Amino acid sequence: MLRYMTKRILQLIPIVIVISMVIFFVLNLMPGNQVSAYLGVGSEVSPERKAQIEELLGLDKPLYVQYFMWLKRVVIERDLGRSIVFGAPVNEVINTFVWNSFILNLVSLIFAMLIALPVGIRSAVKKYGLFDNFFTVFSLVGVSMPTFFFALILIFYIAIPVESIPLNGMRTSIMSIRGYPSKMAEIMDVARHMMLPAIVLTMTSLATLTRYTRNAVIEVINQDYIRTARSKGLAEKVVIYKHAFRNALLPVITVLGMWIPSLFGGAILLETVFLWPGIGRALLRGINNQDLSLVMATLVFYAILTVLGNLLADLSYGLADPRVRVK
Amino acid sequence: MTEDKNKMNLNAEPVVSTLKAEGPWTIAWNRFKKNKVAVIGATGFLIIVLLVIIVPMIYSFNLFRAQEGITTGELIKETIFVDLRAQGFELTNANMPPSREYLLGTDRQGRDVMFRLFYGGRISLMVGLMAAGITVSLGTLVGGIAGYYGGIVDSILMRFAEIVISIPFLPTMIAISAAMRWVPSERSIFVVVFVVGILSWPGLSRVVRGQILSLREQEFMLATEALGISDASRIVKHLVPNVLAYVIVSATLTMGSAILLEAGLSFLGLGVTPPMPSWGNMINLARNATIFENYPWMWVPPGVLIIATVISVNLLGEGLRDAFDPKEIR
Repeated sequence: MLRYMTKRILQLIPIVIVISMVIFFVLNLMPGNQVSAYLGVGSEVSPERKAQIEELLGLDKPLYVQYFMWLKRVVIERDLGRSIVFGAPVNEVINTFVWNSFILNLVSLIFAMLIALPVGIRSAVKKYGLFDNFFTVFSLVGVSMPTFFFALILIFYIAIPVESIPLNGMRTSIMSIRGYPSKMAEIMDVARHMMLPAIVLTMTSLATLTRYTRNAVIEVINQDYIRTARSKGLAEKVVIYKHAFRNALLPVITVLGMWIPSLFGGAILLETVFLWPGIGRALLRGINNQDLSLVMATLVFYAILTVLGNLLADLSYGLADPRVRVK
Repeated sequence: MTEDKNKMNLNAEPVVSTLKAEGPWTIAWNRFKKNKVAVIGATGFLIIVLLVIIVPMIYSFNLFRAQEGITTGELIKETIFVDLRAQGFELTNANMPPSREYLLGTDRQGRDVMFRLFYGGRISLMVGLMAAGITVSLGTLVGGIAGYYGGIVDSILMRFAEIVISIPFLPTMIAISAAMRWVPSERSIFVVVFVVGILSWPGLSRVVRGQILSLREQEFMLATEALGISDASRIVKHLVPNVLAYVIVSATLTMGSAILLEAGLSFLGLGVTPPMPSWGNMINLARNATIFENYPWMWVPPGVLIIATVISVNLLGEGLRDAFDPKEIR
């Protein structure tokens, strides 16, 4: 098992490198001058000074050389560069914002799971009933709705009329400047701000997760061993929760495996609407300000998350189902 | 319905004519007609398409009819090829709430929101359609080649697909669109189409490859070989129809997600850029606090239309999937 896992993880490295290459070349298509981005807006420099800075940043070399310089710096010197927008080392910037995204995603995923599993099972047991049909429509609307529009509607109809729900941000600015009176007050403040974005994220994951659970349970219910369990005269509850549900968990776990890494990636659109200080919004600011080191590092970080998610999905099959366990 | 027909035929004609086998398309069509959900989706989508085509035409017709000395020919021409300039603007009418004159009110420049809504719908639907076209062509081509030739070609292409699938989708799209911001407004839709198209083909290519791989081994393919049918004919007549169902379903669903992606990108100010309207960049107005709080008629209608369109398209896609699936017995 360990050897298999190491092999799989090693296989990911070339993929990540190729992706980073693609991203690097795409980013260098960006218009605008990196020297002026480096010096700040509105700064005028003489051509000689400009050439000096270009040499300093390695911009005078061909693109592929620049890529290998970047790769060498990241892998060997473990230096991701400095973010222009935030004026700090990129790894510090990512480390600050990633946890804000993580907490929001984690809370939403927990809520989504707590709702989706029972709903999915009930929909499957009473297939095409009123309950099932309601959630079918709910999922359809959920996957067809642009998240940012849903977020805007929530702000418009809930946050604006209800005084105690904040419009956006993560903390009340006065409180975060003066410092919170207690840890509890801080948690309450963040929770209040998190309410609307968490509702949006929960709804969107719920839409897919309920369908997924439902279909998995339906698949299992049609199996022979469920008929056997029923013909033994077991109570329907035992059949569903003990025999059917445990087997239906397999595909659900796979989906969750894929979602673990995405917990760290911020939802860019959502964070933009709610001004949530997450990694997605940091990335967008980086893109808008031609902050190449930050954008490059964040995109590669996302790529690693995606690749790891696919791997985890594969591996979690083995964890949940002994039949596919690799020897 | 078909049974009734058969009975009538039985009475009127010799039995032989009723033995005519139903083609896969007829079967699919009949199943599709019975699928209420799919019919609702198709109808909804058709209505939106018609509105998007006709409403801007009405505006153009009314505008040019009032012009002096316009010939009927010119009027027809201007009506059919609606120009974005067909809709003038009067700053004195800015920020008007919905009224009888302006059914959906006016925006900050005094432009009629109704016109922009449906003209923008043309843009959004076009983006969806073209992006789905690129995705499907690339996906079928790559998957088809990989599946048919197998071996090393297959390994290389599928590795490539794996890489593209691992590229973080939305962030990369945003980065590419930002890099292409210099593209003028009227051509910005092609950037969106291009970006969505080149990043979303791998899913379909895997499905097509898998199908072709398994079809290749089946006996009817051996039969075509034994009958001496040419390679081209084998691919076009025997392999393609078998994957066509997947391709059509995928095209429909891709169109829905492409419309959502366009909306997201334009909302960030990166997709379709003004003055060209699209549903996404109309919602972008909501990022202005004054508009957001006081003039909801400027940004709510495009959102509602996006939801309606994507729901219809998704229903249609699901319905088509059921209709084409030979295993599905209803």
